[in-house]
Parts: sequence; C-alpha cells; structure tokens
Amino acid sequence: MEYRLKRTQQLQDFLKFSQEHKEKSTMKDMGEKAGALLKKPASELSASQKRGRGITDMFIKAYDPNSCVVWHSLFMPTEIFQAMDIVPFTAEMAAAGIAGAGISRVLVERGESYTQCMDSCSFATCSAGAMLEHLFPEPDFIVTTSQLCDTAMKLARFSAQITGRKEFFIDVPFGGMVMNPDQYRDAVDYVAKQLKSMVKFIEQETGRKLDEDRLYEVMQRSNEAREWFLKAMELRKNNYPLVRGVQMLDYSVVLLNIWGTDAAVDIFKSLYEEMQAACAKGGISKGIHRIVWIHLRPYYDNTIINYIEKERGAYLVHEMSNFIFWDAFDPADPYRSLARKMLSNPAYSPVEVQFGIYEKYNKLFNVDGMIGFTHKGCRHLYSSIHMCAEHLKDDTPWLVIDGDCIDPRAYSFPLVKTRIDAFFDMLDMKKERME
Amino acid sequence: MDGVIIPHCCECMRRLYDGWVEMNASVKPQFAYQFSVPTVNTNLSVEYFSKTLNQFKEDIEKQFNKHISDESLIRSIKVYNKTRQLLNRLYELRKREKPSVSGFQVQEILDICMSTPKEKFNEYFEPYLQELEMRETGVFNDFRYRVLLYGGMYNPSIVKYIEGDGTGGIVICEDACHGYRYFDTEINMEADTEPMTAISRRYLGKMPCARMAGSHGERTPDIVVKLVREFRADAVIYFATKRCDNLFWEYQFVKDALEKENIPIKKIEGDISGDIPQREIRSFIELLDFIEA
Repeated sequence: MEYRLKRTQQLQDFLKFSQEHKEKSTMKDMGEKAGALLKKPASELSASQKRGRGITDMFIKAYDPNSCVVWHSLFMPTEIFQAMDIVPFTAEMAAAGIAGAGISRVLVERGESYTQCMDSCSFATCSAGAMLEHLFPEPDFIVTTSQLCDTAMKLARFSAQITGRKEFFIDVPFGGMVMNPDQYRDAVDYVAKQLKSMVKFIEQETGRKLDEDRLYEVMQRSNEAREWFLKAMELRKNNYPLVRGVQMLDYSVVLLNIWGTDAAVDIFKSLYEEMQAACAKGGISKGIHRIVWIHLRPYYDNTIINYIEKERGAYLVHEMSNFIFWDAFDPADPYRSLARKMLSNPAYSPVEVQFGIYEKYNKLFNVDGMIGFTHKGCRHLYSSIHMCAEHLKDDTPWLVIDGDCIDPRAYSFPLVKTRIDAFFDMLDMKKERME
Repeated sequence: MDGVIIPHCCECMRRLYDGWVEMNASVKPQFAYQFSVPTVNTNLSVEYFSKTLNQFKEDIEKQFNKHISDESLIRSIKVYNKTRQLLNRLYELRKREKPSVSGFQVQEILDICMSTPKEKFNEYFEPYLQELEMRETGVFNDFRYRVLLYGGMYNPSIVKYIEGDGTGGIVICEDACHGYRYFDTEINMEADTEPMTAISRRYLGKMPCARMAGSHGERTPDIVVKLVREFRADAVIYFATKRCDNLFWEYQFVKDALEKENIPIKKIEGDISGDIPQREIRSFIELLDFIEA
C-alpha cells in the first residue's frame, strides 16, 4: 500500500498550490478556519459549523495514509462505505471546495488541457485538473454509477487510469420515478444485485469484511438524520427566514457523503433545534419574497445570494439540492433500500417529474418566485431548468440565471444583478398590487 | 407519424425526448416512448435489458393493438441478421488494397438501409453487392490515404471533405453509430433461445459507443486500433459531436492508444448537421504526406 504514503505529500501540495494560485476566495483563510473548527467542542458549534467540520473532518481523513479511501461519483450512497470504515471522497464535489478556495480557474484550465473541451461540466473538468496535478488523496479503489452524468463516468475512468486503482461501476436505470410497479421492482433488483457485487469487490480490494449488523446501524442512523432534516424543512413552510439561504444551499443534502454517521444525525438535529429557536423569535429577519432555489450556486462567489437576501428582501424557503427524494430505508433490507434511493432521483427521470415537484413546492411553501441557477456544462439541469421555467411560468414567476458553479471566467455580477433587479422589481410590484 | 421511440442512451437523447414531448413542438407524437438502455455489458444487464424490451413489446402491442409473437420476432431476427451479413460483406470490400466502394457510397447505402424495411433492402441490395464484389477496379485510382472515421452520429460532410475536391483520402471504415456499429455482430439465436435475451445480448455486446462504461466500454481504444489494422487505415479522424461529453472525454483514451501505435489522429469538433471545418480536414490529410516522408 505504498500509494497511501503519497497522501501526506499530496495534502501539502494541495495547500501549497492553494497559496500559490489563490484568487478571490469565498473561503478566505480556509486552512485557519478549518483548523479552528476542528479544535472547538461540538456543543459550541452551530449546525452549519458542524456541517463544515463534518466535511473538513472527512476531507482530512481522506489524506491520512492509514485511511481506506474510495473515490466515488455524485449520488452514490455512502452508507456501505461508512459501515466498512471507508472514507468517501466525492471527486466532482471536491471541485466546489476548490472553487471556494479560489483556485478553480487554474484547475479548470488544466483540466481543459486534457479534455480539449470548453463546454463540458466544470465540476468534472476542474477535478480532472486536480488529478493531473496530483492534488487529491490516492484512493484505494473507485466506485462510479451511471447516475447522473456521462462526464462522471468518464472522469472515473480517467481517475482509474491516472491512479492505477481499480474501478467498480454500477449501472442505474433511468426513469425510476415513472416506471410501472413491475419495471420498478426489476430495476430495484438489478441495482441491489450490483450493490452486493460491489461489496464483494470492496472486500477483495481491501481485505475488509462488511459487518451486516454495522450496516443495519448505519442505515438506522441515516434514517434518523433524514427525519431531523425533514422536520427542519417542515418548519420553513410558513415562517420567516430561519437560516441564511447561503448556509442552507451548502447543506446540499442530496450530495452529502456523511449520511449514516453520528455527525450527520447531530448536524440535522442541531439544524432543527436552531430553526425551532428562530421560529420562536419570529425568524432571523423579516423577509419579503419567498424563494425556491433550483440547483447549486457559484462556489467561487457568494454575491448573488447575499445580494438577494440582504438587498432585495428575499429569503430561500427551499432548495432543490435539499429535497429529500428518497423514502426511509428498511435497515433489514439495505441493498434494496439503497437501490430505491438511487432510482428515485428526480433529476434522473423525464422532466415531467421535476414539473410535478416544483408545482408541489409552490403550494406547500407558499412561494413567491423560483430562481434557477443553471450550470453551463450540466446536460441535466441546464436544459431542465429552462424547460421548467417555460412550463411553469404561469403559476410562479421564474428567474433563470445562466452561469457556472465552478468556473469563474465568464462570471460578472453586474450583468447578473440587472436581471435579478428586474425580477425582484416585478415581484415587488406584484406584492403591492396584491396588498 | 404514429409514434416516436427515444431510448435513454445518453444525456442529449434524454432531453430530445423531454423537449419533443413537453414543449410545443409543431409535430407532436401520439405515442412517445422512452426506455433505459444499460451502460454495461454483463449477464445481469442483459437480463435486465431483456425485461425492459419485453415491457416495450407489451406497450407497443397495447398501443397498436397488435400481437408480436416469438415466431415473428425470430423471423425478424433472421431478416436483420441477413442485412448484417450483407453489410459485413460490403465492408470486406473496403479492406482491399483498392476498395471498390467509396465512403460516400457506403454512407448512402447505410442511409437507405436504415430507412427501408429490411426485407426490401436485402432483396435489392444483394445483387448490387454481388456486382461490387466482382469488380476488380478501385473506386478511386488516385487516393493517397485510407482514413478511419470514429464518432457517434457524424456529420455527412466529413466524408465528402475527405474524399472530394482532390483531398486525397478515402474513408475505409466508420466506427460510428451509423457505421460499423450498426451491424457489426449478428444476433446469436443458438446461444439464447429467448429472442429478447438474444437481442439484448447482441445490442449490449456490439462494438461499444462512447456511452458504454465498465470493461466493455473500456475496449473502445483497442477496438479502434484493431480496426485500423484490419482495414489498413493510415490515419483516424475523430469526430466529436458538439456537447457530447462521452465523445469528448473518450478522445484522450483513443488518442493515447493510437499514439502508442504511431497512428495519426485528428479530432474534428462539430454538429451532425451544418458546416464543419473543411480546411482542418484537408490540412490533416496534407500533413500525412509529411508524416510519411
């Protein structure tokens, strides 16, 4: 396992690279902040800080030569990894941290020198750049699914090539949300069998054995965390803002890789308690417009969210990335439960599924407007957000901001601001008329 | 038009379905159908895909009030296998030192094949093929380079530019969705007695499109090298369709494999319709003179 010894150097290289190439950063003094967070006792941290610590903790563990590390694609459930004490490292999402640290421009360009393509997803391109610079911790193995993105499949193959580690691939059928019961049952069985094969693969690769009792506990913990999060979201339905939108966007629970841990339970329980306390005080501010945010945000710059919340009186009442689309697991049937989760992703079904969800959001959360931030290279959300806006424009006002979550090169806040102002002017007028 | 069937084979195709069905298209199909196609070729995926195809068959039967028997499926498989045999024979002609068909002619034959009932195509094409097989002269006497075309759905102009206007090339094989991959293997009814399983096995096991993953998908670079050898290609033109991430990311894998074998490769980016950079193609073919020298 000599490859693991490289990790210590890779962490140092990452920090050095960050210092040398850092541009404008939303995570100023990232290293110091992360270090301070890790030293504080959990009781002194807010839910958002606990989330930050959970992620940082996992990130640092991934660089530990003693850890067993898996690189996995987005939407791969991490419960099995947690049950086997394997540190999950989401290669594409690491790009969000890279953008926050202000070094995504140079790594996107490095990635493009490999892909020779400027309109691919910058999450994947940036990660490819980081891999070419050997900044990510050497994995023990790689797991990829066909869900959601084609780029993720190719990035994983590239990862396997560049690291020399083996890859396990899981094929997830498309359209789980619109299948008939027979089709759905077949699809669940198909994915569940692959998950079982994955466990065998991991056991062979790592010499670790999966303890089924441990997996049972992890699945229970995942359910518990899910329950706390749902209770927290329930509080947002008819209240003033309870948490800053930018913090809520960063939970992005559909992408989170700490499901199944005690940390996740603690984070979401704290979030619920914080929101309850904010409810009792009548909210953290008096917002005017209730907004649902679709997709993610630019990770290199917080200005958009700050502007709409601080200057335009908007507050986020829900985020698509925080939509718990899966049912509670049956811990006694873990493989089928995880398969059902993988099949119920609305972004991996025909667009009509998203229409239905947003219509539901609109009513349940008493929404004034929807803002979709499209990610240039995203073949799923870029087009579907435009289609949803067109389809649902008679029900709710929509603002679609075309941009990029990772690549700052074409970003200009003044240009975006003009459109945001026009949208909120319209919402203001609408509100005045209603009153 | 009675219906449209769009398999979920890649991200662009999924949105073609959504766009067509959900937006105000001027031609709206009464029957729109989408199903998932596995991205791996394993016994498990073949079994799953055959269930998907059986469901598709049932839905078609219901929609058009027609029964599709196993016998009729087996009959159809035989007809399609015959088409595949004929097209494989056509491609054998391209391996000759002086191919008796041009890439442009093959493209036209395949276009006709894809849009004609196969019984008819087989009936009309076989005599023409025999005539081509008898022909000893090459279709071009002055070509200098044999080019293999790699891509998904490639832009037809690319063949025209390689072969036309004295450029000096001839396309001798297309590892593409509407090229060799369309017919490279037959359905083996001896291995699988259940027709849908046989169809699934053939479909997932044929030469992989860049969308395929797992060990089967990873065969692509080796397959390209093998085709270069078989068809005695001098160079490869890789056509990356705009916004097809599969093709863009696959490029480096193919390029690495070809470079190890000292086989020149050129990537051309473009849409499947509209214009593509003729000058780049010409200069690549001209460059081959220098490489040769």
